[in-house]
Amino acid sequence: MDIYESLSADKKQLEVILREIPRDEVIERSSFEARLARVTDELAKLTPPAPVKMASLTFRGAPVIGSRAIAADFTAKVTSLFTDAVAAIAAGLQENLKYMGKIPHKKDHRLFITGTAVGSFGFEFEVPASDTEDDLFPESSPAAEALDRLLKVFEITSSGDDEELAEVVDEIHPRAVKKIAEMLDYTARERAWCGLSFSGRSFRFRDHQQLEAAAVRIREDNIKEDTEEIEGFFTGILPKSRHFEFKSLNGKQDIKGRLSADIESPEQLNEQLSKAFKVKFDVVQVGQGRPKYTLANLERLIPMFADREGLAKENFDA
Amino acid sequence: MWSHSHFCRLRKTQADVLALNVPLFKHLHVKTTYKVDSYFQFLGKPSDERFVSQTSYWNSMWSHTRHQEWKGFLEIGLDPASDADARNYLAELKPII
Repeated sequence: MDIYESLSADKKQLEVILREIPRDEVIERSSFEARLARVTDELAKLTPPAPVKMASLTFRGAPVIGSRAIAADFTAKVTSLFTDAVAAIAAGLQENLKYMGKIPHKKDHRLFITGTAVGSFGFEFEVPASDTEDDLFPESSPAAEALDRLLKVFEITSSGDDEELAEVVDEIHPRAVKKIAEMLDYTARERAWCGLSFSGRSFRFRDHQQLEAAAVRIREDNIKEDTEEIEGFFTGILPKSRHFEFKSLNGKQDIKGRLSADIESPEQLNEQLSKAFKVKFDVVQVGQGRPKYTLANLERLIPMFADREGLAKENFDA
Repeated sequence: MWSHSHFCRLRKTQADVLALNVPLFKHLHVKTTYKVDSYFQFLGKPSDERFVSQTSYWNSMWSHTRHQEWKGFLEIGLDPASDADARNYLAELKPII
């Protein structure tokens, strides 16, 4: 608890106590009034801290001795893998993560350890705030968004099916997924398991086996990420939920998929219904689950005919 | 220190007692004059909720620093029989400059 928070709590408590003391108990009141004046004065000299988001990452298993200690070498490595995963997810969300090389703006997404987390042994991290200074509608910072996704990955790798996992993975850059897998792999190899709390949500792996199974599911060889070109036409668009239905010209595939957040006006696609396009979809498949299709942007749509108008779908139904 | 029962016996209100020595009950005055943070807690009252909440406030306030480090309490009984000894002791001390 920082000093501002501690003094604010003190002030509230003193006000409650003073409300309970009758006005004529002047000596009894004087002590609390003096104390309240002092606390109020100290508070006035301080600047209220910006609201800080905290995440807590805790561990159990072989490198951990109850809530007393944790192996230093394990801590150094696992926190580095954790922060790399968060930075990579954040960079991926900002669309500037490449498949190789340094993770861009890693320092902007840097997490700061501010203390140890109670319960099992772990750490509390301060999450960088958003750059925007809009106090009324504060935006989540990329690091906060990234932690949210990471928490979701932990949850789904443990309890969701392949399709749910494909959906979550689909929204994360493949390199960031690899970073998450590295963290889980290392934790599993060290016979440990972890829990993550952030923004009022928390998830904890039940045991080492559950974390190991999650690590296997999210490994590269279990996740196929690719692009697929399909000729056909859109049969329906749901602009709010950002979903589409697409029918292939060969009639073999009826695809349901998601429109990426990069498509600013999904309703535009409603004007393109029943026109034929060659479309390049991003496809993610986890394990034996059904592939998940995503349309990344409208440049992925190539009209199939020279007049660029396409043809009415009725022409292909026959 | 005046206890609650003392007040009752003498039929004095807190305002009456305060009027006898106003500066003594002024926190700032005591602090600047005697270098003492003075706060009063009445003893001998029924242990009602108010008494408990006040006692726990002072206890939590003075038992730890703001950084959650423990502090201790030193109890000094203010028995008038010890006044002479206390005065002698104080007379031996050098004044704080």
